[in-house]
Amino acid sequence: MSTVDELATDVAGAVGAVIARQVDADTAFADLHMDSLDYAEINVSLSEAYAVRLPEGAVREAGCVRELVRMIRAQVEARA
Amino acid sequence: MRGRRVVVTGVGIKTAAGNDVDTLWKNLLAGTTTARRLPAEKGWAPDADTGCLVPAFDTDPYASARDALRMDRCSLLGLSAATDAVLDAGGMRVAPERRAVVVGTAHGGAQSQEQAHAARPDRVAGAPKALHIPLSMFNASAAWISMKHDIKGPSLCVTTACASGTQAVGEAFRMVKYGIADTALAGGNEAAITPLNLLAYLRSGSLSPSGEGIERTPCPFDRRRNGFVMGEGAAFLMLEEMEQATARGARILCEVTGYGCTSDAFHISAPEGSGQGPLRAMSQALAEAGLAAADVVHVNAHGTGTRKNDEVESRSLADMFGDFRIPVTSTKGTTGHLMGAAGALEAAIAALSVERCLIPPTAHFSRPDDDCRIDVVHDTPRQLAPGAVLSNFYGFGGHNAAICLVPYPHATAPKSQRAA
Repeated sequence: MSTVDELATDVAGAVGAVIARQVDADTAFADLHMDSLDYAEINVSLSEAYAVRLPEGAVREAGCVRELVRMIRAQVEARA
Repeated sequence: MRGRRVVVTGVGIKTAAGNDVDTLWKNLLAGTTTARRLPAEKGWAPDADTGCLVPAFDTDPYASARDALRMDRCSLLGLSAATDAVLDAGGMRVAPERRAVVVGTAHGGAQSQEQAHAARPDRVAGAPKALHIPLSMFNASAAWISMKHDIKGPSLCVTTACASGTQAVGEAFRMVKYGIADTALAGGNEAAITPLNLLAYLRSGSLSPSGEGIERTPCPFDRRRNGFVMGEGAAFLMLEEMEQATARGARILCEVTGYGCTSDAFHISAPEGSGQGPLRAMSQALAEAGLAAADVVHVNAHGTGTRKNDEVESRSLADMFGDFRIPVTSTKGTTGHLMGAAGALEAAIAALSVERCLIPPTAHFSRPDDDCRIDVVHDTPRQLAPGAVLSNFYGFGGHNAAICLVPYPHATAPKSQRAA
């Protein structure tokens, strides 16, 4: 599996692609004026990319890329 | 009920023949060909790989990068053309609640639909993007235009195949005429050039097969016509109540005076052979305008370039006006067939014809057909005499529509009402 930093870069890229903005690991989602469609699209995008199942509301609750990375890694490691 | 007078005060277009009105007009007058072989990477079927694509343009003035990600190309073209129409008119200067938007489309977010299916043919119902519905829904562009231009009155989508754009203009005309709105954006948008759609139209016998001589296709009303070439694009007209427009000193291109729509009630794709449906639509439009056939000086025809449409349409025109009696053009030779947006584009072109007193030629017309007993304007533009102009459209499913436009201000009384 990718290192945490590599994964954070990839996830930040995926989040940024949805909202057409540059995002880093600690950018607070609350500052990005995202709406429910953005959160849903990020959820779909990450679930597809990493073959994980993020519950509804997980992205909003995560609040930033670093926390999303933690959730994704936890699922991937549990599966392994 | 008499209603109010309605004028056109702005036009915006995005087409293969130009992304602004003057470029489009120049190409129409020159009879420029825009049909091209499509970029190979999409996997087009043999004989179904020709289309008229809108040249790249800067979308930043029309939509933020984030909003653009939420739009199918159809909506992006529509929003851009609608915004151009608003700018051309000098803004929408009425309260948001008195504004309306009516948009025609035949295929909606077709590219998004097809991309979603192509990306995961084994999981069509499994994991679509969360954005899939906003991208693909037919009413998306009406919604985007309402948001961008603060339109809080009616926001509608009309979908009646190729007649969609004409009916969008007609329905918006009625909204302004009867006081439902004071200003309306009326138009159409389409971006349906996809491998699936082109192959389906080819198999239905409507599409001109790609091959030698694509630079001379489509050729409406010509003896060698063999189908339409699909175009993409959008066109919008700003319609305003006349007194409001004159009070603010708006430039007025022409007046909209009549609208007719009828149904063949005959076949899901073929036109009924007598041409009575289109003839009744034209008659309704003229009756609403208080005019007679003798007052019409030009028809911007549907003229798709299919064998059947052009034959039936010519019959209805000959029945209405007499054989070879009225100058007719089809601008699809230059722009391609914009499907649900075509009626709006050609209403806009008809409005420009009225304003500029010129009829653009029918590109690629060279061999008259005995089945088309009409005076086809070809090779060079022709001067337009003062009078009424009709824009006609017919769609799969037997939808017929016509719009009547007249110069503003009227130079003379209608010919039919003058003393002998």
